[in-house]
Amino acid sequence: MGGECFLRLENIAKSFAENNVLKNVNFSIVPGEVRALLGENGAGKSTMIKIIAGVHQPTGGKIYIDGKETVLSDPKEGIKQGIAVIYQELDLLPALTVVENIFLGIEVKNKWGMLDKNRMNEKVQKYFDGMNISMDITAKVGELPIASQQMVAIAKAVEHEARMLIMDEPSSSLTNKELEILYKQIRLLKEKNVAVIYISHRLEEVYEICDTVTILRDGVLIDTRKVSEITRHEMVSLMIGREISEDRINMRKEFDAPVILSAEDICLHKLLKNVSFQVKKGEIFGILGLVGSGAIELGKILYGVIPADSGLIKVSEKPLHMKMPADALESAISYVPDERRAQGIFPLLSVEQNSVITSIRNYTNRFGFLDHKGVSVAFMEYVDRFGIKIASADQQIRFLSGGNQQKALIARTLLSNTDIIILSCPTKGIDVGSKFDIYSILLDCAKQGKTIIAVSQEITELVRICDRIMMLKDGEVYHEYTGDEISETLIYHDLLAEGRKKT
Amino acid sequence: MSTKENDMKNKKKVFYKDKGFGTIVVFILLIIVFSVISDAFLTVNNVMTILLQNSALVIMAMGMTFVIITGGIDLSVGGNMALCTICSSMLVRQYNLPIIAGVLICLVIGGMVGFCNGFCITSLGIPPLLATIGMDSVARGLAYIICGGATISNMPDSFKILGRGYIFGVIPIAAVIATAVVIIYVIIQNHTAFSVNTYAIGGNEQAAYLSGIKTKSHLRKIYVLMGVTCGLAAYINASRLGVGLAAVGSDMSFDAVTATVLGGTSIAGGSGKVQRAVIGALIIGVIFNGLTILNVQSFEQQVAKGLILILSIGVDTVRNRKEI
Repeated sequence: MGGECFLRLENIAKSFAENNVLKNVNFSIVPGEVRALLGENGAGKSTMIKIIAGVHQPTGGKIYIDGKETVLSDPKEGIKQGIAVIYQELDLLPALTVVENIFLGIEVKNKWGMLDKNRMNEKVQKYFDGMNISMDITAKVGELPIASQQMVAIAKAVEHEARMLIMDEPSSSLTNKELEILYKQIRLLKEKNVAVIYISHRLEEVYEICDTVTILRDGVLIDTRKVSEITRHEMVSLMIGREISEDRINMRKEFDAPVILSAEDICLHKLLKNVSFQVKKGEIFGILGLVGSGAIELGKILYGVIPADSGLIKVSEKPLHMKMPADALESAISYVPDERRAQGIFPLLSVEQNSVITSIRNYTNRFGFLDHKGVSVAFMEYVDRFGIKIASADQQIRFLSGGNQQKALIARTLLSNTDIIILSCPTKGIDVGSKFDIYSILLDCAKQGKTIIAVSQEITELVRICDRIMMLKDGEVYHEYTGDEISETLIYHDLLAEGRKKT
Repeated sequence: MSTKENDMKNKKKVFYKDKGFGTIVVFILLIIVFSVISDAFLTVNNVMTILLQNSALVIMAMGMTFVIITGGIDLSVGGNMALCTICSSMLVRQYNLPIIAGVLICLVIGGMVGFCNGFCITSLGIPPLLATIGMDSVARGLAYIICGGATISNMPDSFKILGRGYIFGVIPIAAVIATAVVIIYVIIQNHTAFSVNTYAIGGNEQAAYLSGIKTKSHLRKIYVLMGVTCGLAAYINASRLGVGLAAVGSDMSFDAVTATVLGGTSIAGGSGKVQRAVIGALIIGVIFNGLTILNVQSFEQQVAKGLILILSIGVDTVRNRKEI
């Protein structure tokens, strides 16, 4: 592409601890270009975006804006340079109105320094009218549906005169009609010479709206092509890469055992529609789904964190009535959350206390006093078995690496001695080495008769460890993969395919 | 980060970075300063007076530490104390009840107020600060209504034993009771699942819920326990004064929170130790006693007290910021 680049990355690298997430990325984009950024989960897309937005600092390389070397020391700096990001979790203020959100920080004032509400309202109304979008501009943003919120976020970027807009999976929660409006907004941005980086898992959108496509894999920028010159198949194989690792760690070809858990017609407002499945005792069952598919929510329903609108969950033929996680634990279900920091660990408590917290009542005598020795023995067993690297049992868990924290959380579920273990994103934010440790721990648990339910959006990991994989799309069961169907290529194609049922 | 680095980090934490360390240094310095300035300070008599005067505060600080560890706060203990005092002293005088009955009345009333706090916080979702400030006013108002604003005097002698009696003629009974309460609290803190769950809730409530802890019912228990502790403190205080007053304990919430925070318990929740709150309470006691001996007016003492709270919370906040 000719012309002046708006943004250019030169040999950008980023590593977290010993984990290299981006390796020598060279990237450039010109004003008015719409660029798709593709790659599997963990390929480094979000890290790259965060570097461009100034959230992360690169560990190597240079950033040029308008040909000038620029250091984006924090998100404010990024905004000042005209870079706006619309993250999946929109960062609008729910208690403010549409207009207030759009003009946040650039409020229009009259000559007395008071807010000129009329002018602002007019401007916003004009913008939405021009888009043919009906929008109640005085409504509080928190009361609007997600799709409308997204339109507000884009409008905000336009009013702030952003020169580049990054959209992180903007389509994941949109209906087809809303998608059309999104396209329209992107075309308007293009007319205004705004550069757009568009991240999506849906290839049809790439063909619809993008000019060019950049593919990342394992932190390496594989290629940048014109969308008109690349086939769908090429894109997929570039994303997955040559060594399509079909090497499963789970060697069981077929698995059969009595059903331990069954779910019937689970519904959750808009997120899940009549999801039914059965899990066998000792099985490793994968629930695969992208953000917005309802997979994470399904995991939470099985653990009693959120109540389903309707449906029935049975464990060993007995229907469960769970009001809270404590009930699930009593019914022999335990859970490892996906947000390790926010929902998993107690940062100030020791590794030992963190591991034993759910089962601590089992280590008290009849006077209610703790059997410190018993706790220690039980905990140390898992330290040895899982190879958890700790300085001492009293070490606060926040000083451990993500992998070791995750091992401690898995130890927590095993110490609580439940038959069924649900893991939500079992290896999220964990380096490759520890990932394999955790896979073998899970296989080991399954061999000893534990039933594992792994909720994940990473196909690779589910293919490696699962006996069976159920794919969710838009809240519905798309297909259940068993035996030879468990192949990364096949599942990835299905994930990107249109339609809600496998044909 | 390598394991060795972690190792170093952990070891370094133990000694001077320990949150209780600064408090102990301050405590010892205060004692040295006051004993140098005044001969009357470090005498057996005066030390026993300090212990007696602060027994109620020490007991109160125990319950408060657990509350603050959960990330909450209880500002109703002053009003709660007044209500316990009035109910107990009126009933004791009316029916000439024995000591144990007087104490039980306080514990039950205190526990009930605590339960109301817990209900407002967990079931209604009112922030602890507001729920307990409201309850403070309710409880004190009730105390005034019940006694009609009058002082409950002419108490039987038995009522005054716990607050005014001495063992071997030297050690105040109140101080012995306070010590027993501290020991019980330390045992609870170090050796029960209840305590681990308390720290867990304060450190990460969401994770605690997901770990199967019944967070709401646990929090209710914490506030009831605070109320019961408050009831005991109320009885000892009333017994020491020898009369029932509805105006009692107007500074108690303030002092108990200050003592707890001085002891290094973080207002953010998740960490803290009850034994350190004892030092915190004694620091407050020593400062007052010392200033009184030095003839400093109570108005100036008021200013000093405020500054101590701001300072200790300031230190806590700065320390928290550094850790992030």
